[in-house]
Amino acid sequence: MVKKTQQVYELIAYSIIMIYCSVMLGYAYLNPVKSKVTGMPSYTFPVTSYIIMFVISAVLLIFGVFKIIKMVNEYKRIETELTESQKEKYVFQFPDKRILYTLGMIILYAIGWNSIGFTISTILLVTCESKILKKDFSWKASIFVAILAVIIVNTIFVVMFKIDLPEPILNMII
Amino acid sequence: MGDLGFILSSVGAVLTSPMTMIMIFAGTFMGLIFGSIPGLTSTMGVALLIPLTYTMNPVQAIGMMLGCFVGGVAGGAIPAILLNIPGTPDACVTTLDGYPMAKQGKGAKALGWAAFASGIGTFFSWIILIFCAPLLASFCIEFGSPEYCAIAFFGLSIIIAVSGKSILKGILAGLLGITISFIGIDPVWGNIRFTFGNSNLLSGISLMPALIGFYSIPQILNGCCSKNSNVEYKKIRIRDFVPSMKQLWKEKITIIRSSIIGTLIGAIPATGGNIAAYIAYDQTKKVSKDPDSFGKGNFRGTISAEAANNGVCGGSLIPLLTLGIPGDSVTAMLLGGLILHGLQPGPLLFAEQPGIIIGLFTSLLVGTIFMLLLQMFGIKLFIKILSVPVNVLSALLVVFSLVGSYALNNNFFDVIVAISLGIVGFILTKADFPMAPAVLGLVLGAKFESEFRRSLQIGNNSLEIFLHRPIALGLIIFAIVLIGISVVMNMRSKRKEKAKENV
Repeated sequence: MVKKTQQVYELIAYSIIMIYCSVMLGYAYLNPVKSKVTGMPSYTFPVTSYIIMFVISAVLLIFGVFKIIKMVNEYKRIETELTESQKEKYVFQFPDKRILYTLGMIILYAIGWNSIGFTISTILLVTCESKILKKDFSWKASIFVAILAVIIVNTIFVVMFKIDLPEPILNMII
Repeated sequence: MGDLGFILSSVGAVLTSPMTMIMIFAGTFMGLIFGSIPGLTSTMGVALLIPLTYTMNPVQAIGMMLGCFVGGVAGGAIPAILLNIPGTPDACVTTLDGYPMAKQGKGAKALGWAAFASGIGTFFSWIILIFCAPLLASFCIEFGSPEYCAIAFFGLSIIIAVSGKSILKGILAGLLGITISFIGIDPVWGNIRFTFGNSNLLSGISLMPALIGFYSIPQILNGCCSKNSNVEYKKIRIRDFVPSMKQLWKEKITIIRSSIIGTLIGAIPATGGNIAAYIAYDQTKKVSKDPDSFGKGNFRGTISAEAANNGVCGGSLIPLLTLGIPGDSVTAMLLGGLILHGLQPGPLLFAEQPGIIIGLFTSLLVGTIFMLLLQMFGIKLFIKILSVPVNVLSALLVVFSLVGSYALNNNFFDVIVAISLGIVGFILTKADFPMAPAVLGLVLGAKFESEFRRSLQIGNNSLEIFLHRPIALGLIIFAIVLIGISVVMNMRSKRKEKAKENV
């Protein structure tokens, strides 16, 4: 039996796909190709694909909603007979806080590249991430790993590949 | 080129030159490192070597690049197996069975099989390269839009086979990848599609940020809560890693079939290891007596994927050396390297510079042996990655993944793409969507569309053109049959699971 957690994520996934398809179909409708060239029109393939995706997602979303309603009703009926571990299948499990922290830090890290620069952002990310995921990990070790990561990345990408990583603050100082 | 004495002396010139052997070793080692770090690829490695090898003689220079090529493709299997993150796009399929094997405590066995399958796959394609290069090249040059369309369709049909439990979810994931590939400039009409006025989207969504988004970020997010792996690397012995001769002989059919697929796919320009791995995996699953075990740690899945993606190494050199047409992005870099060293690939190269051609063939073989030896003796180092605390590993993977997305085009927008697709990928993985079809769709979607539309233009908007092209027709029929078999197998396996639940 599929757990409720997975079913809820399925509904979210189908909704995201339907929104994506709607936006893209809307774009195709509002930006038609005006020039006439031989062969299959430019939007035929994409529009067909988006319509198929939308229909499949909509059907699965409707079925998914019915499945969850059925599961909720079944849970209400047999709740008292279930053990704690069996109840887990019927209850939505929120993502672990560490996942949310990591996701938040990834987004902040990316934002930090253009504002405080790659080096400072990387040191902050590696230090904070390694501490948050394991509270008893020492600060010294976190900072050491962070500096090592910066050195390795700079050696490979900046020195060898001549990639310009954004460094707005360090470029002002150095 | 037929003089045996000349051949032996050209081979000897490579094998007896310490500098050449060191360069090939260094290139192979570098390739393994680049392939095993998500965000770095063998394409980057070879591109880096071009200026570094400028002052070397051509055989040393190209030998080093070939070593990097072979090592890079094989190295992608290491994080695919240990971390469920493909090191290179070619290793996506290896995650399907390699990672489950690692979770079952068979990480060393998976790495061993991957290394040996890679080695044999490259060796097999090397044999075909030296004996059949001109013949295969003349066959592949006949390919036109209908044939390329049929190959792309055949590749897309594999979506059904790698969809796992739910074919509909697999189709949705595949369509997601296909529709993402439509973003950018229409390859046939030249108009702009789905860019929303953003100039960064004119060239579409690059494969590397999408791969990092679909695979690396969801794995980092899911993995940050896991405990460290309990693989004790100190207890890993060479014999845990190296399959016995008896075991290798038992799997000869799987390895040879996958190597042939890899070589043939590699010989067709603009295909690549990714497609070869998917097709080989699908074929192995279909002929297996236990297809339900694929995706759950069946070592044959790992063998077929790695033999095929490394079989592409020799195969992709066929159009490169005989016709000057690169088979994929790595061979495009190799083409640059060859031209830089004054070698113009094509039929004349074989006639005018036979010594260099034999030297290159020898370098490829030596690079393959080094790749195998490096993996054999480096196994403890690779498995030691698992002993790195998960809090540190997660942070480092974030850095490498995002820098890898950025480095390809020096464009911050690719980082945004990777993170956005990463969030979507995370939700999809939580909803038990397979990610392999999404990558397959992204790789093949645009190609299928453009070749299909060009075929229609050639055939005056009639599908009959496919009926008049026997190779294309054969591939399409074969693909439809395989889709049917995959659907039937999927339904049977669902019935079996239901019967088990009811017992």
